[in-house]
Amino acid sequence: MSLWDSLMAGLSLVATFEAFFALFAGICIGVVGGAIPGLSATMAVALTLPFTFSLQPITGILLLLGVYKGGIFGGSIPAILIKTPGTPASSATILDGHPMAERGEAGRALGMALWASCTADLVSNLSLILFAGWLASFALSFGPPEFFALILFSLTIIAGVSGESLLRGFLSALLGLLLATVGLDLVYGTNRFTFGDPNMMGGLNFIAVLIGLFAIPEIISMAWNPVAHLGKARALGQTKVTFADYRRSFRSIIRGSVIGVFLGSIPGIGAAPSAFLSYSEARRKSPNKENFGKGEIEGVAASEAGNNGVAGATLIPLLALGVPGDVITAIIIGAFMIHGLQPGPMMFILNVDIIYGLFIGLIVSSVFLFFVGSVAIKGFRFVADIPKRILMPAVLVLCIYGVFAVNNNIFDVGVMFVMGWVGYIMLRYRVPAAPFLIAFILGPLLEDNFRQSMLMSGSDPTILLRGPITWFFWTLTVVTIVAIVRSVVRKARSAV
Amino acid sequence: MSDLPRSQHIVASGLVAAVGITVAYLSYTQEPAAAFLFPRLISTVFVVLALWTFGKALLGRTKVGNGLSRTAMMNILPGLITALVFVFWAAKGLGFYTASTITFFILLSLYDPAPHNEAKTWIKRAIITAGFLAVMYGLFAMLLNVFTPREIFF
Repeated sequence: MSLWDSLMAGLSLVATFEAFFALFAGICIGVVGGAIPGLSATMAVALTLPFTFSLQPITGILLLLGVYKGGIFGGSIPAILIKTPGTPASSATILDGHPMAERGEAGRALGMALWASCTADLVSNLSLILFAGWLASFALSFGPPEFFALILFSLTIIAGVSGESLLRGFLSALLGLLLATVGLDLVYGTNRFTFGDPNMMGGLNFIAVLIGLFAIPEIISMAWNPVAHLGKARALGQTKVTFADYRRSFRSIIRGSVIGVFLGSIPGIGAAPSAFLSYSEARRKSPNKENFGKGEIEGVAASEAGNNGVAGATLIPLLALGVPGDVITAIIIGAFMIHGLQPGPMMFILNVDIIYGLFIGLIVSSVFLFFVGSVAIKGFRFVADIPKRILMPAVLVLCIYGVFAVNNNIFDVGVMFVMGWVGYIMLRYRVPAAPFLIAFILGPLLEDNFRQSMLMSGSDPTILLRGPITWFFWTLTVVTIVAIVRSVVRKARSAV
Repeated sequence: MSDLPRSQHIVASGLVAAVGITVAYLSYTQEPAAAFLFPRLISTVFVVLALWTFGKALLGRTKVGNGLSRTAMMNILPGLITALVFVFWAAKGLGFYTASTITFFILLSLYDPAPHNEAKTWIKRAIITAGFLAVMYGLFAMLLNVFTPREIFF
């Protein structure tokens, strides 16, 4: 299929009222979700997932992508107005955004956050379009051993950088892998760890595990301290962002976008480090560096460009290799699977219409984000003030409905509660949940590739080290472990 | 970093190690072996790392996290009981929407710091609950046509 044919096929899929409405609605949901402290882009995507079942695959996935992109921007609203990041990725925006709000320039700070976010989002989407196809064509030469080594490397880096301890990250990932083995083994027809319960034969429901792990702990945390006062939102003020502001910050926005694209395409890094790196680079290079931290508009632009630049780039490993870069893309890969699609290099051959439909949808999403964001700045800022006592029961009931609606099975709701407590205990003991979820999703893929490798070699494990591609990933895995252990040892020594 | 009582870490990591050993035992004792090869590998690595963590906890070298306090548990408990009653009894017995309304109202009242002896507060809670129910009903029953048990009421 030629490029033109692929584009037309994608356009015919996506150029429907349903698809555009889903994208638009997704961005609105995301902005609201991101703007409410206590929710987050992750939770918003997780809670939206059950609603995608009845939709066409492309429509459902565009809805989730809209929530993702809206959520990342939405996080900047409370960060600037009430000094509380709506998402972890917006933490860097507080540094200059809130001082601007304190001196009556909240509208200007939010405007710059929106302009920087949309620019970075566009750069990120274009990089996805440029690099994903190239990476996928390279990945077509991968066999099961190469994919096994790649997934193992991805899990290692996610386990290593998600939390404070490599050991806890690994334990979390291994627990996710073990949980993924529950259910009927399709090769041998054997029940594994089902304890005779027919509800467990199909494995644990992904959505129940996901919502349990990410939404329930937040609800429990809200119940623990329901009267936590966040502070009143600041007024927008009279000043607005100007084109001169944008031009002055343009270099920082582009630099932040590139940093976001680079870090976003590496599994496990995420948007928050990208935002802080972009911010520190902008401060280092700026002629106004002494104003950073005191309400410098370039600081807002840099941090927002850094975190939004990640959004499209995290889809590069997802679409090209079938490996999610962070928790949100792990949820989105789950949505692909629910709709019978397997992201990875083969998707660029078998479902090229969906790939191009997504590319077109993503470009349109940058435009939608600009319009929704412009309204959100004026209207949704009050969302940040929703009290937790209302938010908590509402989210809880929504979680229960969402999980129940998947299979109309109360067992799934039970799984959600159990996973909720597991997630809460992990939160309290600072065990990162991201490696758990990503391992739970990638577990079946890792096992399939392991089994196929063993079948190919007659159970000779040395096949996992065949050829330069597997060596490359094994080397990266070892280097990652050594680098993380070294940094931990150094930190421990400097603390003594 | 807060210094948690050492016992909290010993109990938590001990439980993780116990889970790991149980899973490893189950995977090594089940047949056919080929179906359990992958779980065996994973559980073996898991047990090694879990025992390592347990050893660190015994030596008092694990100090991160906030643990679980009695106050936190007492705050969470009423909400947890309400949610469990909803899921495992009320939703089936009363119907999903009726049960949701009651659960939402109870949870809102439980965690609302506003005074409980003022009629105005209760009216406000009732209005919020009615609004919430209307949104949920419109979204799930009318827009998405999700099947839910409709027993006594709706």
